[in-house]
Amino acid sequence: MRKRDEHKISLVHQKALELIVHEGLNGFSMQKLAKAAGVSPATLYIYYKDKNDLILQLGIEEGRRMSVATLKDFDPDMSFEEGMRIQWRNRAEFWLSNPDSIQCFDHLRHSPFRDQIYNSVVSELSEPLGRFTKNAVKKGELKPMPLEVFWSIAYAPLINLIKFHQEGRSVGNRPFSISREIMDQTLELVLKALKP
Amino acid sequence: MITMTATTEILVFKTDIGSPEAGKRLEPFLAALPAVLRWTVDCDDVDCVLRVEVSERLDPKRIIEQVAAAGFSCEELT
Repeated sequence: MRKRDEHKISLVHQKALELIVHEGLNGFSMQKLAKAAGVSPATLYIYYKDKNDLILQLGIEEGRRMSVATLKDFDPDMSFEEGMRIQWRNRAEFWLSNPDSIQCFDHLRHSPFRDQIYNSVVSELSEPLGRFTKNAVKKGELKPMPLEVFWSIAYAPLINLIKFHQEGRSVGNRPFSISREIMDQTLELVLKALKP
Repeated sequence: MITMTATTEILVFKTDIGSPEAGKRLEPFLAALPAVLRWTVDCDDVDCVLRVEVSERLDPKRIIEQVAAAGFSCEELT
């Protein structure tokens, strides 16, 4: 009987992410993955039923990893400012050190896997983050506003800075790389906009 | 992740089962093997991989015989 080999699984996982990033979901196949990971197709089928099963499991696992990273050191009962600082730190760390995961999410977001992955992952994040903003409004540390408005002001600026950084270019093709100072400066403005 | 009991084994085969409809023809043939717990065919793959979960040690030849009896080619993938 073939034993489950965790090292091999994590290699397959990493190669699958890279392949999806470079070839998209349509260009991705079990045969290409087997070649890229240096394993036989038979090995892949020990762990996964087919390509769709593999993509789904990969998406759910990456989503979980992102949830865990996003909630590190975070407590919904923190002051609004402290919680936001931790959210920015955690999100920046994950986005900057996992570019393949982020690009893979972009592919999955526009795929039929979207709902299944979201259902199993988003609930882990939305409960504590929802409680955090409700608490902040109750304590008078955050203006009440629709979730979409909150997200667009609270996190979209950070994601935008990271995108500039990953492209190496910002507005008007100016060279850009992210720094602690730039992030702090942006977060201060964000907090100013969100506080009553 | 797939949860496997201590006695579950997975066998994989290259076949020419090109569509899920064709795969249905296989049902009675694999149902005849009590050790077969679950099976799927990945018709999108070039090898049309048949994946079989078995509850006890089963000679892959037994599966190959049944798949051949259903009219398909079948060889073990290793």
